[in-house]
Amino acid sequence: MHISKNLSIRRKQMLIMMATSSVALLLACAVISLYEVFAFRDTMRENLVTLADIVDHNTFAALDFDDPQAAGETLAALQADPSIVGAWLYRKNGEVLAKYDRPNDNIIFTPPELRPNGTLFQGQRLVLNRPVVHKGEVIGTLYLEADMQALYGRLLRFAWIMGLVFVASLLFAFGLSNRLQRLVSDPILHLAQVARSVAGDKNYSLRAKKQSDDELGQLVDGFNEMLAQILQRDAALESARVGLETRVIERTAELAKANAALLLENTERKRAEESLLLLGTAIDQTKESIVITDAELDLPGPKIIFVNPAFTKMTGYNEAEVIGKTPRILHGPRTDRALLDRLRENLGHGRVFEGEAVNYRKDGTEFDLEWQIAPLRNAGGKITHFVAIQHDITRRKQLEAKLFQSQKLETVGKLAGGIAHEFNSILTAIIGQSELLLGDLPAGSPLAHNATEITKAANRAATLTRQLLAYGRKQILKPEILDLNSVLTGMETTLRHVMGRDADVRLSFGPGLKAVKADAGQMEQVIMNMVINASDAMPNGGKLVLETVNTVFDDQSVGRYPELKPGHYVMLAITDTGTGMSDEVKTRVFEPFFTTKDVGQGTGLGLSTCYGIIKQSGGHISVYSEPGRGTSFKIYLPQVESRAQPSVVRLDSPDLPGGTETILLAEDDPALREMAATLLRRLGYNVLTATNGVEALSLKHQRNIGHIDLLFTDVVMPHMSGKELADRMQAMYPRTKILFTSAYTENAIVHQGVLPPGVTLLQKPFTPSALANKLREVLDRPDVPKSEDA
Amino acid sequence: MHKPDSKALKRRTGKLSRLAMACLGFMVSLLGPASGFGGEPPLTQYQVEAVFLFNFAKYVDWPPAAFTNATAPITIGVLGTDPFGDSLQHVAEGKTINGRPVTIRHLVSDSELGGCQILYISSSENFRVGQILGKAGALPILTVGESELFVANGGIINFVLKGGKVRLEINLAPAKKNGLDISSHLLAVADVVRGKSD
Repeated sequence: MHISKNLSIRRKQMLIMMATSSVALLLACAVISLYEVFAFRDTMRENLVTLADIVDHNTFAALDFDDPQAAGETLAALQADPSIVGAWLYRKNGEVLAKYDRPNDNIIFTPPELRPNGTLFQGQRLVLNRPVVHKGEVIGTLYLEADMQALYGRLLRFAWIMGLVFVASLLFAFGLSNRLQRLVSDPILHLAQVARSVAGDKNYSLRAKKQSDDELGQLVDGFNEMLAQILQRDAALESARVGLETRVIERTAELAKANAALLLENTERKRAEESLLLLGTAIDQTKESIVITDAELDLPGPKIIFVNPAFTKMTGYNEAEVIGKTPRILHGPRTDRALLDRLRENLGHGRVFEGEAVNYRKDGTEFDLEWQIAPLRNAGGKITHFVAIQHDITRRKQLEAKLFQSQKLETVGKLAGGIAHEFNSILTAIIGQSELLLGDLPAGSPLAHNATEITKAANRAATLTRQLLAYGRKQILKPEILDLNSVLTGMETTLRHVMGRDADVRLSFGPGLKAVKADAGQMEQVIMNMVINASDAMPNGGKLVLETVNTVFDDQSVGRYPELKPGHYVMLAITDTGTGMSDEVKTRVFEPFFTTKDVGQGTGLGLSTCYGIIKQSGGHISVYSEPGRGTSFKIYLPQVESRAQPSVVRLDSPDLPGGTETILLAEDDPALREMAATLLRRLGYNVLTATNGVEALSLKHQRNIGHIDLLFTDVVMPHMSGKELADRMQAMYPRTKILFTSAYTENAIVHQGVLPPGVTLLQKPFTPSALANKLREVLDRPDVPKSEDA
Repeated sequence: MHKPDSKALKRRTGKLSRLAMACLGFMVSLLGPASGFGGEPPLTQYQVEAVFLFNFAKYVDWPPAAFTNATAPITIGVLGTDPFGDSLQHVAEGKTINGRPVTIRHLVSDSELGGCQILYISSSENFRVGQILGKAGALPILTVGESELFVANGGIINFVLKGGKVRLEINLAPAKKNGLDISSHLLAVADVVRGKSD
């Protein structure tokens, strides 16, 4: 059955028909055979009975008259029927009268026991046993036995016929079925073919051909109807789809429109949100403290409802701590009550109020702030809130103070410079007159001492004046492109000498240091002053660090130095580990004549001079100090683009012209004297030093030190001016050459008659190289006898 | 109907039944008819002849004139010394042939012949058998005797002993003459002879 499921409908039909035919035929054959068997048996039985009747009829007499021979002859006639196996005829008393055995039968026929009368199929035999009755009297018994060979032979024949009939019928049935099944299968196959085409091509316009009016015809009708319906439905679906698509397109358009509107709205909202967010961010991130309060002016006052982070940063109060409180919590003893009253009054009138006040942080410290408090009005014009924008001006105040200090220094400097300038003229006159006086006095006159004192005092005043001039930025500067590292290198030996052995001097050069534009000599003087100052601060030794570095001041950092412009600078820091200074000293350290040293130990003009020089060079100088730990001066000079020319030659450079001549050095400024002496010795010269002219002369007088090739003297010195000293020296040693030095310009000095024209003057401050070169120039000048003096 | 389970079984039962039959047959032959069929003693000559006398009535048709009516008995007359004893009486007792009872009559004289359908002429009457037959031969009577000359004297059936068995000689001419129709069956078991009258 499983196999037959996948067969084609034709084969199935054939199978069904053939199976049915076979079964029917088999049944028919079986029934016929069975019937035949029974019929034949009946026939056999009848035949046997008939035979028995014949035998009876012919053996009556033999039985009646006990004639075995006659009986035997009669029985022998049974030979005519080959199916008779045997026959026995019994007498009435049971004795055998006659018997018959089928001839040529290898079966030995044995006399059977007397049996009930009648016929009986017994195994493969049919037996008959019956009394022989004659004239109503039983005269004997007849026994007949027949075999079934005939039956079987007949059945075999019958079977053959049946088989042939069966095969022929099947063949016929096959042929017939094969033709007839088409009646059913052809329409089905056709239908299947059409269905396949429809399914394959999706062509619902195909139609199956109706071949009959039976159920198959109805099926084809149904199928065609279905196709028609599908076609209709497809059309309906298509039109619905088209309608739907149209609707979708319409809806999409509407949606797009709505979407665009939404997008626009969204964009606007987003813009508004962004704007709000931006506003919020601005408020959150601005450095201005913003406080919003309600508009309650009556006591206890408006309540804070909003503060921004800058407020917290400014005051130390966080949002939770101030919300609901009044701004009074920020007020303290130094808060101006009158200002608050004015504020309240202004706000009461709906006016914006601006002012400065002192407030107090959470930790109790004061800070200065600038207020701008404005009422906020709602759409109806009613004041609903106040907003306070508070700007911490503590720093500005500090800067203002600094600027004030700086301006003060400036003013003082200008004043000092102006005075010094006037004083210069006056002092020139005084010195000149006193020297004239001294010259006119006879030797040994007691007035000479007075005149000398006048000259000394005037010289001291001149020195101060010179320093004041420096401070007042009235000096004549010769700015050049400088490399501060080179300047420091050139000064290193001198600096170490000045600092003494106990001090540890370190130089730290910033890499790629930019050049600055300044007067080299002045810069050396500034550095020297600073170092001397540090040396004084470290009487027991310590560490001195000089470092250079490029630095940039932007708009923000320049705020710390109100006088500075933003830009690129070179910084020179001079840091000691000395005693340091108090804040008070620190604020006044650059003031002229301010000194912590004992009277007579310093003029109080050193740092002022530095200040003036740096300022005059467009730079700035600041000081940072901690008492007991040390002081750091920082000098800022604007960078210049071009590389510095090595204008400052190293002291120990072999290029510096030197010599072996003997030089007498007269200089009242110990630092300068020391510096110059060291330099000259290094250059190979034999150097004699004197603090003033008198000492110089006495030195010459006291010790016979031989020929002095050159006198290097300051013009303005106490006790004896450089001019006098030079004159005296030349009077004694006409071949001694003279080199003057002065902070005054040659023009000024010569013009004012301090020095005669034609003398050689080395303008202070001078660089080591300038000194060396100038010295060599004077020494190498051919001797020109001073005809004028003579 | 016998329905064997298999061919082999069928073959076996066939053999068995044949064997059983052979055994049975052997036993029957051993025991003899005595045990097999009632064990009656063998009939004597006259007992056989008595049966034959009676049986003749079955094979002979008498003309209707031989009987007084349709149900008149068939009378067997014994003339002469009766050799049968009561066996003839015994054979015929209670039986009918063709609806007629059979009666036995012992005759003493020839005059008593009429009314008999079968006449047995005892050998004691052999001396005058011709006489008797002459008388009887005019009547529809089946004459039966046992002598060598019986047929020659016009008797119809004569008992002959052949091989210890009683056999019959039949002379058809007297029978036909007297209107007796003797069945061919009877003729088949008898020797048909001719009388002198023919």
